[in-house]
Amino acid sequence: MSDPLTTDSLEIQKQLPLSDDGAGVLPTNTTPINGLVLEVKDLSVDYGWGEHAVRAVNAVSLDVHRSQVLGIAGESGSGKSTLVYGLTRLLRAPGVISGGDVKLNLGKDDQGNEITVDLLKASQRELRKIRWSQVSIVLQSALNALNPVLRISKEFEEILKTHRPDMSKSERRARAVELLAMVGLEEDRLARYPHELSGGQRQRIMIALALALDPQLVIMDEPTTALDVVTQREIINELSELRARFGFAMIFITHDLSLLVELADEIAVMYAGAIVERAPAGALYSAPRHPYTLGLLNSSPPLHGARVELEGIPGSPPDLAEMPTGCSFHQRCPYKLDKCVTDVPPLLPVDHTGRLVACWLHGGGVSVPEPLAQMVAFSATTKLHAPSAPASPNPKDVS
Amino acid sequence: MRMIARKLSLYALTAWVAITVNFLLPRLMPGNPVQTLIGQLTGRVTPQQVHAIELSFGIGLHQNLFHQYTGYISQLFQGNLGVSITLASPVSSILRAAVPWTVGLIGVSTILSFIIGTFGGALLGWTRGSRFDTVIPVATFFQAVPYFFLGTVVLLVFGSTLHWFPVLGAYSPTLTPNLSWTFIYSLIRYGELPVITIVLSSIAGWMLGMRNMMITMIGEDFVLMAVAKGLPRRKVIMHAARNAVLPSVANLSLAIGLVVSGALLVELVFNYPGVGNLLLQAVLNEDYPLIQGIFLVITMTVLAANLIADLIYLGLDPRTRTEAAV
Amino acid sequence: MKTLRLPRSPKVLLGLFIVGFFLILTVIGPWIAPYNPSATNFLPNLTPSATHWFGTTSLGQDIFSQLLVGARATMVVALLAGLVATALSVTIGVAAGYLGGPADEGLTMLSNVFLAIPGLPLLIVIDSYLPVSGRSNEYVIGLVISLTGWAWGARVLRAQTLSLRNRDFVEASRIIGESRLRIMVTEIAPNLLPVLASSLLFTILYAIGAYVTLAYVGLTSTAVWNWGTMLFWAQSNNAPLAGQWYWFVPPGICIALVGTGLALLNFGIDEFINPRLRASGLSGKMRRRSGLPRRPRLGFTPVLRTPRPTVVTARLSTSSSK
Repeated sequence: MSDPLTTDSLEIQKQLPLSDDGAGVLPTNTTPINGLVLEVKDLSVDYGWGEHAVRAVNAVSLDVHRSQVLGIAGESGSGKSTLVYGLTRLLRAPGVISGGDVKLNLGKDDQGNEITVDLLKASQRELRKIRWSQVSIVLQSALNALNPVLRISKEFEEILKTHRPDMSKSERRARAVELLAMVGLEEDRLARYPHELSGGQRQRIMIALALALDPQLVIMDEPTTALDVVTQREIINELSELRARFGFAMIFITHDLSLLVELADEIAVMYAGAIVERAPAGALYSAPRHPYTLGLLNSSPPLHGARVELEGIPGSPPDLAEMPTGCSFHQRCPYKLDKCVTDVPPLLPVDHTGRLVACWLHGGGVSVPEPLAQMVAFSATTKLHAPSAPASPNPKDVS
Repeated sequence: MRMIARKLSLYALTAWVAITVNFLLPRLMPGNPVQTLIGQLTGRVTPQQVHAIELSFGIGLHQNLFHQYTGYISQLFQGNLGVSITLASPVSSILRAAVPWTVGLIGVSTILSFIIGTFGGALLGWTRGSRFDTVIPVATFFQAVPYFFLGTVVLLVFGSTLHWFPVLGAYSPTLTPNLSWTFIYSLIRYGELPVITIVLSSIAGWMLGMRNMMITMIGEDFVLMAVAKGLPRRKVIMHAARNAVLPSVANLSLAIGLVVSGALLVELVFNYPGVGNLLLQAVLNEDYPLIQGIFLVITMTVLAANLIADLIYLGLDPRTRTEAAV
Repeated sequence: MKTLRLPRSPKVLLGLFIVGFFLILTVIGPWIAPYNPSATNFLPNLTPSATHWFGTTSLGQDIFSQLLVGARATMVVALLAGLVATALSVTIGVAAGYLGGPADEGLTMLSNVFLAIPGLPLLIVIDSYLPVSGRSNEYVIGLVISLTGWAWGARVLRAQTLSLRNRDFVEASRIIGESRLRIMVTEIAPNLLPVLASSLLFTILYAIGAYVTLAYVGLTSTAVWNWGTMLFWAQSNNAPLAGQWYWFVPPGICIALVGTGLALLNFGIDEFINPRLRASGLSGKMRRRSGLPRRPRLGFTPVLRTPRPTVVTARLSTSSSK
């Protein structure tokens, strides 16, 4: 199969019919080659520049396909939000992209050419065009993300007016009603102001807004953190259904791994600005390979199953301005080797299934501790409890 | 709506307080200066008018305080504000001639200042860090200059020396007030310098308030959301500005108070036939009935303006309308 | 205990400098004045010269001396009035915010009333009723000014107190059973300091304007020299039209400078209260050198022209799968 044509910014302008305000018509409902929507290669994001720059995201690579949910999990400060805001160029000052490549594949246009947008090289005009129509984002706090002085209907109006200038007023209204119904809300919510709605309703509206233009990629930044558990569950279920129905790619960020187990296809665990493990969701959950992942899994109680003793991870994440040498996790790791203190482990495949881990334990030549060498359970819906860490760090030899 | 009712009652209360203060003040001060001045009036005005003054100031009356008070209030509602001692004519008619000028001057200046200040402030907030920021210390300096001083300087430099603007008065002395275009043109020309003075002196407040609010708003998530939606830049600015302007409107009452104070002095400098001139002359001549009348009218007008501003705010910020979320 | 750092913003430093300068002048002004400001024994209407730096008035008084001596009264009355008014603001505002209920309603109504009635006309009216003895007492005038200038600060402080009242640390004190007064003084007051400082500066600004205006209109004693009185005499003797700029411009400029200094200080406090207002990041030159735009644009995160290499903290090269 031939590689998708990677066009630079100028070529995109030629291909897309642009009206005066730049609201060109982009392909919708098309599938990029291999279904690969987002390709991120070695993306690095700094805060500040010059000698005081702090690296917040360190050479992260990932890709997301249509109908796939990529979950990104990690503690606060791990860089997960910075990562997604950075790749969409929405990161506030003093954030700076300090390296890497981000490509968004949009599918074919009328002539059958693949359209790819290089997000890091795109101009403001291009960004404005693809924003929301191809990439939308659901911010963490819906109350803050909705303009307090505008009615909900206006939020929908704006999006549709900007990106679909050919729609009439009644068509826009109908579309808004349709979108609300999709997330289970009545039409009368349109006339309300944000402060008149409950948290769950607001978050649903955010989701409806995000899907308004049928984008290729939807990014969710901890959308359920502020909600109660029951509403959380409902929304996660709705997201699953919507994804199945419309086929968009989704990135779901959270600090709560248990949420991702059901929703995500693949999970990437971030620590101190880098990905430390990436695996299919079920595999990660039942058979983690990185000590940090193990720690995370042990920190949250399972909803079902036997009662277990909870353990946290001793210590706290490193200060990004003063990172430790070697592996960023070694100071808190129960399986630390001498090598871990001095050398940074690369993110490498750990078996032939495409799982990636950044840990010296799996580099060969060392026996892997038993909790990190479990067999993978193939049922993704099984809510297995994660294996517990041993009392002493003497690994049994499993291979 | 409960909110509106609350506002109205507050303003009614304030108006009542102003009236009562007006009533009590002369009675609280040691000695009663009006007593002696009454003598000047006899023979020039009707006995009822003299009685009106007596009621206002509590001279030579044998009723108790409460009766004086009720008498005073009923007098007020009949539109009787007493008689000016120096000008020997009813205060109400004197004021009727002067108030429109002041209201016009203040009204035009405030509106202009608000509009320019808010727009300027929004731009300054959005383009923060650019060359435009030099406007800030300049505007601050002008705000710190006393109104009358700025007026004098402006008058001298642009009026007398450079002759760019006509000076002194509200319209050309050769014309009489009518609705013709020449008169209106003259009105505008003569009004330019006073208005410019007031606008220059008051604009910094609006600008800075708006700028700071814009900067705060730009840090809010909903503005980032507007950008994420791919909206054109001016729509994003509108999102922020629409919220940033709210405190400015809420603070209108303070601003109007300050502008009124300044405008009175500006009238003095430019010989504008408004209430300011009258007040200061009255003070120098110890014409207490006139002072009282002017104070009352100024206060009532400012209260009315504040009420309007408050109602506008209610319309702008939906969060004030409903008490609780669903 | 936070250490006191000298503010870096040039605006604030300028403000400090100006205000400091005039404060010093307040103290030493009368001492360094070359002549008695009221002495009329010089030639009248002299333009600025070596012996009379700002010339003389129509009555033959040295203007420069008037300026220096006048600084004291102007500044002292303004400071006093500002302090008294702020004290009133704090008492009423904090009490209203903390006590809540009917006390709050009543006090709020009181401040709304005072806020709505325009300050200067009220001031003029009250002052005109004062007997001459009252008018020549600067303290009385200061008191009257503070009575008309406290309402705004009270409103601001009340709002701040309200937001502080529900914070956790106050709740904790309440639970332990500390008295309300003690809580107000030891817990809430320290956190109000920035807002308080800003309110104080603003009130002093207002007080200077009010005092000078009263003097200009002739409602204060002419025996006490202040910048407003200078303007009063200048106006009465038609100095502006006579072209004697050296008479009426200096006092006006001094007033404006003090006001500007106070306003600049207020900026500093604003920036301290609201961190978003602080200037962030490096200067424009440094940014351009690294290939970054001078002004960061929202929604357009800059991309470094030359990528900063992946952070290497060890001998091995790092990073992702290739």
